[in-house]
Amino acid sequence: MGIIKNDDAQFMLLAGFIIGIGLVITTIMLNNIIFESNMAGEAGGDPIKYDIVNLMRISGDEMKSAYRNVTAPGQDANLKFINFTSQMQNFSGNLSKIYALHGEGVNVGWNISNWNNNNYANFTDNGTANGAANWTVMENVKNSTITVNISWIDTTSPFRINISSATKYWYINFTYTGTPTTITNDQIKNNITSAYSIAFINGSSASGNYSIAGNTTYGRNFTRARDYILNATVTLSTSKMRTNITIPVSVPW
Amino acid sequence: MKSKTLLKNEDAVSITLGFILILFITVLIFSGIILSFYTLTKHSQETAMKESFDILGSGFAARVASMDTLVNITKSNGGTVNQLEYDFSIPASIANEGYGINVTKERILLESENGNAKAWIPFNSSSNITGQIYSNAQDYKLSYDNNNNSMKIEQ
Repeated sequence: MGIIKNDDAQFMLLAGFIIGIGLVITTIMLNNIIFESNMAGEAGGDPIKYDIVNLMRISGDEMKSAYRNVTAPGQDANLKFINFTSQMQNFSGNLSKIYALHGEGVNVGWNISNWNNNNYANFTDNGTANGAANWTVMENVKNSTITVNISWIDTTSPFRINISSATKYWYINFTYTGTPTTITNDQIKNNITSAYSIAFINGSSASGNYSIAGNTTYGRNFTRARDYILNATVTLSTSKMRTNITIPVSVPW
Repeated sequence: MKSKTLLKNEDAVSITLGFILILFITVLIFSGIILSFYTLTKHSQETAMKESFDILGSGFAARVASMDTLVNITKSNGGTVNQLEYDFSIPASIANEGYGINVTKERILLESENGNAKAWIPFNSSSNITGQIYSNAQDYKLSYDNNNNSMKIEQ
């Protein structure tokens, strides 16, 4: 009877409240744990593409550099292929070691058959027959000398060099092969005032080599030249991806 | 004095009825808590699936976009993509549910087996890509076919 009649239950009430609040907290925590455990673990972007684009760019730059080095005045022309190969082998070997440090297998190959066989490239933007036929080579030119040597031409839509300023327009059509043509700075100045831009039109209708050297209205010297198109083949492989890409490289610039 | 008597008056107090009432209220409260916990769990599962689909789809879209970028950069330089392959894995289940991934040129649709959770990831690929894969196999390969200018998903 003493227990039944005892109404001093404050501690029981307190315990009840604590248990109630504890249940609510436990429910919320469990809910969060279940949500987190159901989340996907893997996500994110793909940084490897920057490595590949970088590899393509530096391989092309190295080929240009190697070509310029071995064809520079004073170099032995008989050793040009050997020296070129030597520089590229050195580059490829070092590059493989550098990329291996962060888990990527890399190899750079090169094809110089166009150079070896004197196969000249089209006057398109990237030197291939499918490249853009009408393109601007240089803008804001102040002085320049243009040398073009054409080895093949389709006279139905002749290759043309357009030189245009903001107000005037002058062009040279090319209809013959074999003889290098030089357009001097004075010839250009007699027809057009600077600043002007130089564009190739119908570049896929002819092949050969060109060189444009001069300076810009900003006072900087420039050289745009193409002797041949060489091919660089870059391969890159990681545990998650593999790629093998061949890109044409315009040499010397 | 009177109120004290009223407070101390226990003539209408029945221990049995009090016990039954308290038991009933306790059962009700506990049932409510358990039911709400179950509903919260179900809701969490669906939310988790949607979130996971978004993450998974975005990761897949990032890979397709990478391939597309590389192909376009190579082509703009007049080059050729001889080989371009990406390996990727997908979880066998998300929140204990199987799911399927449907890929077209414009979007990725991820859908759970029971159809309760869906996610659309829009993207735009310049190469053709079509494929339907399921979570019953986890390892897939995304590759570029230079001849057809298309991307394939193979197991």
